[in-house]
Amino acid sequence: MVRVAIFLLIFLMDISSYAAEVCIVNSYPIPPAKKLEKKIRKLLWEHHHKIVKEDCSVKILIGTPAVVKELKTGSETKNVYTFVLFPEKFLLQKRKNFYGVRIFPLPIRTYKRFLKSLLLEKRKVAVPVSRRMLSIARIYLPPKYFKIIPFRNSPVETFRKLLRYKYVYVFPDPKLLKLINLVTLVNFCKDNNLLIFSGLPDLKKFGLDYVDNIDYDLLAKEIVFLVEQSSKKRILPCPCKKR
Amino acid sequence: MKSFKSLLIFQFSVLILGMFLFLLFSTFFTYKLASDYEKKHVEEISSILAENINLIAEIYPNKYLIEESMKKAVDEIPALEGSCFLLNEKVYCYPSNLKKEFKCTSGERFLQEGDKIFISFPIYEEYASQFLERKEEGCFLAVFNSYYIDQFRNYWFLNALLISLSFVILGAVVIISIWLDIKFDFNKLKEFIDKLKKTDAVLVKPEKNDVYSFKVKEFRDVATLVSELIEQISRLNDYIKQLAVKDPLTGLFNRNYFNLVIKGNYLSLWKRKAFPMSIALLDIDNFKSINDIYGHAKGDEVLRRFGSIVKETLRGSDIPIRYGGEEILIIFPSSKKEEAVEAVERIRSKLVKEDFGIGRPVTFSSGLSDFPSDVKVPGDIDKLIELADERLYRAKREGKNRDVLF
Repeated sequence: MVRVAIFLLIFLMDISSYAAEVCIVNSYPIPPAKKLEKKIRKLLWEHHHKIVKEDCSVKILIGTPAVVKELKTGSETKNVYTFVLFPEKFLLQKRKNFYGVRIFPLPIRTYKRFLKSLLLEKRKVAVPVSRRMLSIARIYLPPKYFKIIPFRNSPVETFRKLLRYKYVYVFPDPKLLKLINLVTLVNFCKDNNLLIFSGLPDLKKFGLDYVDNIDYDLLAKEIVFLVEQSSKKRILPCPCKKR
Repeated sequence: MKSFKSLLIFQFSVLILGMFLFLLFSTFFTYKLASDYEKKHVEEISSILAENINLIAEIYPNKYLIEESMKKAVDEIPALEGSCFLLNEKVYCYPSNLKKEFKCTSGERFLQEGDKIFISFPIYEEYASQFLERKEEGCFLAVFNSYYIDQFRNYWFLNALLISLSFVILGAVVIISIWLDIKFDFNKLKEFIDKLKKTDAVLVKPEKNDVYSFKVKEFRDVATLVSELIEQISRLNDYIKQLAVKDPLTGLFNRNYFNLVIKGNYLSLWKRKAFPMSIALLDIDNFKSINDIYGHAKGDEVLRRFGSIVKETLRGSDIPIRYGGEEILIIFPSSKKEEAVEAVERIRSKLVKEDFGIGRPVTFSSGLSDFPSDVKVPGDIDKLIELADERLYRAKREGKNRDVLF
């Protein structure tokens, strides 16, 4: 009798161990996104979650296209997303079934780490932003710390104004991050002794003075945490490696 | 069972078929490979061109500058007929008549129409960070003249065909020459064996030149082996013959020889020619006591030496035969017993001088008879032997170590 009870208990534990049926939608075919997906899959398996392709209780969305597609469906399924540069652009912070982790740290956090890392004194940071991105940039860049300098076609238009500042922040603005534009901006900053920094880790190769380094292990853990539990914060900050 | 010739013909046919199939396969493979390479080649050229023009457009989006770059590319790349570039809804084409045909297609596309090859692919925004989603911002079209492409493909194909063909021919030459060598040696070996079959292989030894004329080592080894075997057989044959007519201990002729040659051939000659002939029957004195006291080994030694003294003392025409245990019969053709006794005495004097380590000299007694003094009819050798035997016993009785002639 005792043996049967133990067997039933084990059986029931095994069934109940599948806490959630999770779908993973990765719309970014880039190495970091693939790496993150692999880590998430491993963690989900360790936490006894079942990864399925359809009919899931939680969806993990990697990349903006996956989020946009999910928004279009209007489904009520719980969604956990990452690799979305500007979740506020889609008002994701207001949607009840959307939880996310930022893929780049908020500029203010990057700024503080930048100062701490290079032992610099507080000064206002110049941020060249294209006109198209102004509205989004204003959400992320508080005027207390950042001075947005808009440009129409090329960041070259901002160079004269940049000379008034000591630090330049590279905002993830597509127009600014065009290869030619970024290289031009970095060259200008180097030539004029301006310190340039960003929250995007892969800009390090262009010679920026400081970049944040994303901790993918922690990011995967936070995604799985959001799968398992609900958070008061709808958007969690991007986890960065400590220097 | 297949003959060697039919086997060679069969293998040659298989080889020819194999080579033909190899050529067919290599031709097809090479042609396909050349086509793939050429496709890749023009795609890569187009990609480099597109990147180049895109970069110029990014740095300085000037119509004349972009079109000038396109013109330069057309001038420098003979196969390139023209190109078109769409960026931010502006179209740049060189030559300008391409504008009519130009339209963007999604995904990379390779299209051949008549003598023109169209390669088109989308142009994506190039970002410094991979965290930004790349968006299509235009497209690029390159038009190539297929004549140049075909020319390259045919040139490559011909080259490959030539190399394959030369390898095939070289291979065929090597294989055929090996076959011919084997065939030559095989035929030679066959002739060699046939020659041995026709002749009495035991009597006719193969010539060394026959063996050394082989080209292939293995065939030469077989021929050498056959040759050596025949030589060995020949030697064995000689030995067997010797064993049949000679006494192995004394080296003198034996009773077989006496019965086969003397009684068979020699007597008829003697009867026909009736030449004088004497015989002597020699018997070692007290031989039994030598055997008994000093053993059979000593007795054999005495007999061996006695035989060799007899052989070396006699003339070439005299015939010594071991007739009995220690009895030696000597036939002296064309000799009277008075002449024969001189030879017997020479044997005696030599034997007496020999020291056999028995404390005394070894002697013998002899009885002699001849034709025509003892027998009147030639050919009666039995009578001569009988008389010689009687005289030998008389010699023994009279005190040994002597010759009795009458």
